[in-house]
Amino acid sequence: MALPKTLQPSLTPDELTFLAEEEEISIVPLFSMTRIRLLSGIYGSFQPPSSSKVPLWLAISLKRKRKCRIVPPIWLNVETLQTLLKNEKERGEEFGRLPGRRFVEVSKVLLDVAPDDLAQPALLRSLLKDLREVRQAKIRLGLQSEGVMQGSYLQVTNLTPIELTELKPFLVKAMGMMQALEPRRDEAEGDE
Amino acid sequence: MSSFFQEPDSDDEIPQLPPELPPLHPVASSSRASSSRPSITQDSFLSRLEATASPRPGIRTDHEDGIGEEMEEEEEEDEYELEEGEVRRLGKAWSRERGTGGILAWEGELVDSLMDKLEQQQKLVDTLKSDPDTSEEEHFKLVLVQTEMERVKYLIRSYVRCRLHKIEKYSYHIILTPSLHSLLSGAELSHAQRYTELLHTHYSHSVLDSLPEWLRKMDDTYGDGLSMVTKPNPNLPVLIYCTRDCGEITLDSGEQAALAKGSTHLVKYRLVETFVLSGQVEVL
Repeated sequence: MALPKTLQPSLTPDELTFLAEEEEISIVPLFSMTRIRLLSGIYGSFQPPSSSKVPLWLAISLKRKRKCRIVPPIWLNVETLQTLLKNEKERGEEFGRLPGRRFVEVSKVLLDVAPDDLAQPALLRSLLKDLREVRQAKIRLGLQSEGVMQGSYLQVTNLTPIELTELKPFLVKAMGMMQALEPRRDEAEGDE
Repeated sequence: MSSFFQEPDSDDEIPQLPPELPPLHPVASSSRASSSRPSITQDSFLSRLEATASPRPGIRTDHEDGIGEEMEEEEEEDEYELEEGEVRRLGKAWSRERGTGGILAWEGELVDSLMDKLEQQQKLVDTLKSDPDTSEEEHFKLVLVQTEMERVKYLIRSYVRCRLHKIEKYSYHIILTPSLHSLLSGAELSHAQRYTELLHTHYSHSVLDSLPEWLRKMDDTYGDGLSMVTKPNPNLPVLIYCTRDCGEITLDSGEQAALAKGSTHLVKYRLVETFVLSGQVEVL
């Protein structure tokens, strides 16, 4: 088919990362170049010690060619992540608010491509992992709680798109099932 | 039966940075481009840009949208920064198309405009590449420009494929419902028609013709109201992110749910359709 089965349920993490690469980030170029005009806007000019804002994909591309240093977003440091993690643990069942909806994707890309521009990348990685685990545990707990599967509505505020991507196929299927089992069937079945 | 429409696997791959430089250049376009600037000699980068970037009169200028086809323009002011560029808008349209069950309106203007720009960009790249005067810095810019072009192409392709998938899935339903026709582009609609015909002919030849006449229909409805025509399910839940306050909606259970700005919900598509169509909520 036009769209392979694996892509049908929702956007994949790779696709989400692709979208996240449109987010802007600051870089300090290691070369000078006049302004460049791209479809998404005009960037530059690039002049060594001063920083400029570019889309993430451009930053990665330059970084791979060793032509820039990426300035990490303000939230990507040990202190902020520790605070986030602490809040996340203290909040009980509720989900903490992450800085930015592409938080996961952006931090992953930066850790992969520019670990040398980050302070203590190993620690950052492990904090991000802890954060993710705490949130996943909450999701699992939330799904077990009574009532979640009863209705056909769920408030999932503060969960980022990539986290929801993991959940969506399951939830959609479960809800479809519940609808099919409802006594009064209003054309609920059929699709998927 | 869908093998006709199979696309190569490479389409599934997200372009990685940086892309391979395509081999230098289609004879046709470079010769056309060079013929368009015979009068310019010893030209600067800018004057070459002018010569190549605006071959047609009356073409839309970049000033309206801030997204141009030239790579560089020293004197340009960038006051007209858009809050949302076309590339991002297409990204959202793609995400929306992927997240919902039924087919949504074709973003014709957006796609056409991006396609035009891609074409211009391509011309420029071809010209500059085959030109011995192109400086090293310009060559480096070309690599970046091409990287972006690959990204945009990937986005357009993904968007179109996703729609193609829906069109094939609901082809019968689309053909039978004239109100949906306006949501499709001309090419999509004719594809839907031809696809339905093909399918019908195929079923007729392989099975239906050997059945008694009263069993041959493909759009029958069973006694319990279940139709043979596959339709999008409006009750399928969608994930929405409210970019602004959308008030409250009433759920089937009679409860109210507030769609506050910045909140995310999983809810039946039927209940939030108006917000999705008006763009007040993003679909994830």
